[in-house]
Amino acid sequence: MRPFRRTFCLITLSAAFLPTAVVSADGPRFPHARSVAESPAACPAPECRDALPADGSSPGEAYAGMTPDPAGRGLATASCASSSCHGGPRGGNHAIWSFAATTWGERDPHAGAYQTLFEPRSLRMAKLLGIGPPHTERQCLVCHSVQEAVERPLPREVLADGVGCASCHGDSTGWLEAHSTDAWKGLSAEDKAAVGFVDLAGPLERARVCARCHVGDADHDMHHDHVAAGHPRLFFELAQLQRRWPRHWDPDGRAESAPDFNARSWAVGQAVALEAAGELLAARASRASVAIRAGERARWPEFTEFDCLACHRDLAPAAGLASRGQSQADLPRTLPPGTPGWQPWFVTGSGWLDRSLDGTAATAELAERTAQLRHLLARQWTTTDATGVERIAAEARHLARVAGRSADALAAALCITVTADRPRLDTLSAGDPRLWRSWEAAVQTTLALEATCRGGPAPLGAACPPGPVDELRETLLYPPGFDAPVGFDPVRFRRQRDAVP
Amino acid sequence: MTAVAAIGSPGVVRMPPIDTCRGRSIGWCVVALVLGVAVLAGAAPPDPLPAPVAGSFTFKGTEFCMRCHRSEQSEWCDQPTSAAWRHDAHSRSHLALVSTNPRTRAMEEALGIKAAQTASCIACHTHSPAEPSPEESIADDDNRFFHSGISCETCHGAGSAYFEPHLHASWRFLPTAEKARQGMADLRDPVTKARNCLGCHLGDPDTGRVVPHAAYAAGHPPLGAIDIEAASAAMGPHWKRVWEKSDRIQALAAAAEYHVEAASTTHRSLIGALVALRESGLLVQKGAERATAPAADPPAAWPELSLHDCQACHHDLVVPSRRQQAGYGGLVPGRPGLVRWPRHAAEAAFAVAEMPTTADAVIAPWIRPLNARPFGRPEDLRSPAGAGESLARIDAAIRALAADRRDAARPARQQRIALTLAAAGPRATDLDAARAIGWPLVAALAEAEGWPADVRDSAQARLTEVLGLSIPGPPPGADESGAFWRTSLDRAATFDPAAAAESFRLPPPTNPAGK
Repeated sequence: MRPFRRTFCLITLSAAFLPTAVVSADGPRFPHARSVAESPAACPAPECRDALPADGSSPGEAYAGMTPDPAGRGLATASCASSSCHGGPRGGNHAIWSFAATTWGERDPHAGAYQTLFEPRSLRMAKLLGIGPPHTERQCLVCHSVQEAVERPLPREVLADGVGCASCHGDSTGWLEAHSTDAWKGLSAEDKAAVGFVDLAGPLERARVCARCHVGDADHDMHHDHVAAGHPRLFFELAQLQRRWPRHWDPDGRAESAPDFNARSWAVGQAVALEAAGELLAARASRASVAIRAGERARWPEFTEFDCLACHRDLAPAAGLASRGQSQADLPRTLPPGTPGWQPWFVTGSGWLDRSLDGTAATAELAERTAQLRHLLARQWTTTDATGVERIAAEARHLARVAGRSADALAAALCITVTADRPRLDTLSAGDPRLWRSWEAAVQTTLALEATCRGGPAPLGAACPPGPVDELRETLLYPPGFDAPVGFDPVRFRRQRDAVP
Repeated sequence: MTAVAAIGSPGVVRMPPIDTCRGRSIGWCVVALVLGVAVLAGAAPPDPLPAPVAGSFTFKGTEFCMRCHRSEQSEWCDQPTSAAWRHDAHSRSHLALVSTNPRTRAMEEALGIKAAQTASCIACHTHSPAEPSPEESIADDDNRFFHSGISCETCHGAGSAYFEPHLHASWRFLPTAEKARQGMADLRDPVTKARNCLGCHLGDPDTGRVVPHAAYAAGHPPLGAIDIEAASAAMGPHWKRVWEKSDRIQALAAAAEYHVEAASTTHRSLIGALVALRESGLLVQKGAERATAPAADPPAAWPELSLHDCQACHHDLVVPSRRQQAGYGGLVPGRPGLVRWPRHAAEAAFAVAEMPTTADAVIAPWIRPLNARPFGRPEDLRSPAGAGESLARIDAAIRALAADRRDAARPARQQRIALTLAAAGPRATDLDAARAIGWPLVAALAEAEGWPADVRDSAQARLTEVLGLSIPGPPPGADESGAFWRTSLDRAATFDPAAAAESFRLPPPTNPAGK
């Protein structure tokens, strides 16, 4: 029997859901928060300074020999963060927007995304992957800075902003001037979109922007090579992320002021996550099938598409196998043993959408398409036949479309009431074998419960009783020294979950 | 088959006549008249390694062997051979295919098969005279082949051709190549023996001896690291080494340069590690050959996950990650590579053979295709560029080790080997790799000079304790030898590299042997 200590490390479950947080036995380590008043290129940590090349110009593979793109100024946070615009002092009677960039710089983990690339873990990743320094690699910069997946690298001082304003709100070149006038507020959403401003008012827009990096897409592909080299795995659940996120906007009159904001965020977030996961799989499979046909290097099968714990567990007979690697409990028993299930994180929550929340045509197809894709992958996850891989791509694309339609419908629905459906969620999960066994399903259950009763950025939603939900979280924590829920006790989880009033 | 072609033709050793009758009333005993000296086929260097027995022979049945080998024959074994084998877990291996065994029943249910009717199960758990038919279980009580488990002919070769000739005393000192021609494997040769054991204990797609991943997932115990010498010693040998035989026979053997096996256990053990390294590459290569062979009907599945390193995937995710700290040795991070455990022991073997290299460099030909695509393209793996050179390097090291003799300098050599292995030990990142070094180290210490007996004993005891090196035989009547493997899995899961590294620490020898 493996030694399993009941003392949990300091990390909280929420830390695991913020991918920029580095989970360690020492507790959560967030990249250094810094003020935008500092020079954008400044790097406060000594180990980080040491890692910087003197000329700051040693390029990664994708950007070898290229001079930085001078037309990157519209992406620089500096252009937003002057003290008279979004970089004012925090607090007092100042409007929240006037210190939005200050809030971001001081409190938002996204501001440290670029500095993460200089941490020892990142440097070791680069070494193991045989790539250039992470801060010069496009594959790293696309999510750890405002760099888009384009041919020319941005100047260092722009990259150093990490995930700055333009990462989410868009390149300001087309709208910076108009945005600084009083007339801006009078413009319609369509007018703003036409000049390249990305509106992030509602859960749907936010989820799709977040999912680019937090789930991934064709240009933001954090794959298994990266994970094996040391990158943390990705989790995405919108309601949770929004609640933990230092808000730099005023919720009054926005989506947050709706009483169903958290519930809607949860539901929309689940649908968008599935949409993104489907599109990511389709992109990976399409890319792989082209490479397979050409007889070239291909990353297929792509292991991050599957249940991590299906494979990543030691083989000790006493190590509680029943609690791990069971994400395929819904798959037919005719499959050969040892087949990993597709994306248990994404399919668990979205699996409840059609049955508990909406019930309209918008989500009716979700479960069927999801099951179809999972069954196809369960049979053919290692196929090396280009046609087979293309079929997977087509099926994934189909699921993404269906999930996207569901997300749109959930965002547009008049009212989302998860709270009223909680008894039904309980009933559903009681009949769902996945919840008895899979850690991922248990986490999603907990997050769904929290979305229904925890306050969000705005003090909305019914108050959760403090005890039971916290106990659920404790049951879900990784034990010290592990980067996985080793020893997760599904029976205990079930008991605690039933105790939530 | 490139794998076989690389090995070459067998060596030939001739022996002087010896009376093996020892006064027993065996009428067929005659004096053999074969004179000779060691003659190596294809005399030009490099010496070829022996070829495995090839040809179509059929099984006679264990009961034919037992007619003679049940009796006290002290030149063969200190106890009746059949009794020794009955204590050997192999004699019960077929019981794992019987559905009354709970694990078997669970596996059969999960896989939808009957083990006793499934060729890939039979291939290693017993032998059958022919392909079993679905209607007729070979576990029927009257099937004498099934009920002998892994028995004489499984390892020594099917006896249809050699059975009659080997009743004659002239057989005993026939050249091994001649015996092989008639179907008898030369198991005194460490390469032949290692290949024979690893055929099941590592796997061999050519003979259908692969445990598919689905079978592991259904409950088959993982095949851990194996040291041929430690394992066969634990099973209870039913043979004697040449130097364990009577002075008279030893004298004859010496006069005839009867040196068909490396004299030290350590050398044979390290040869086993080199063969395992070689076979770990050939495992994926042969699998790829079968997956792309036009004649295969149906072609073998690809990828077959079980041809790869189990621990590439099956490890707990820990912080800090030992795997990331150690690096992936030329493998793209996260790609399943070759079976890992032979690596460090083989590296030490290369050092002992004075051909220092890294295992990573030797296996690079098989790793390149695995980097191009997870599990590799079978087209790239069936004849990987550079594999021939790598096999030749391994074979050269094997030949160097096989030249070990029982001479006066041996204790000094053993001391250097012990120090080499002790230095390699701390590099092991998992239990299997540590054991693969620990077993030959324990053997080397037994024969090495430079450490007082108490120091040596405590070093051996510490290694055995920390790495769990002692292999208990199965308890009488047990259906399977499961206890050792179950313990091993738990040990592997809680492997502490620091404690393992500490167990490899040797005090400096009192009389350093020098180079």
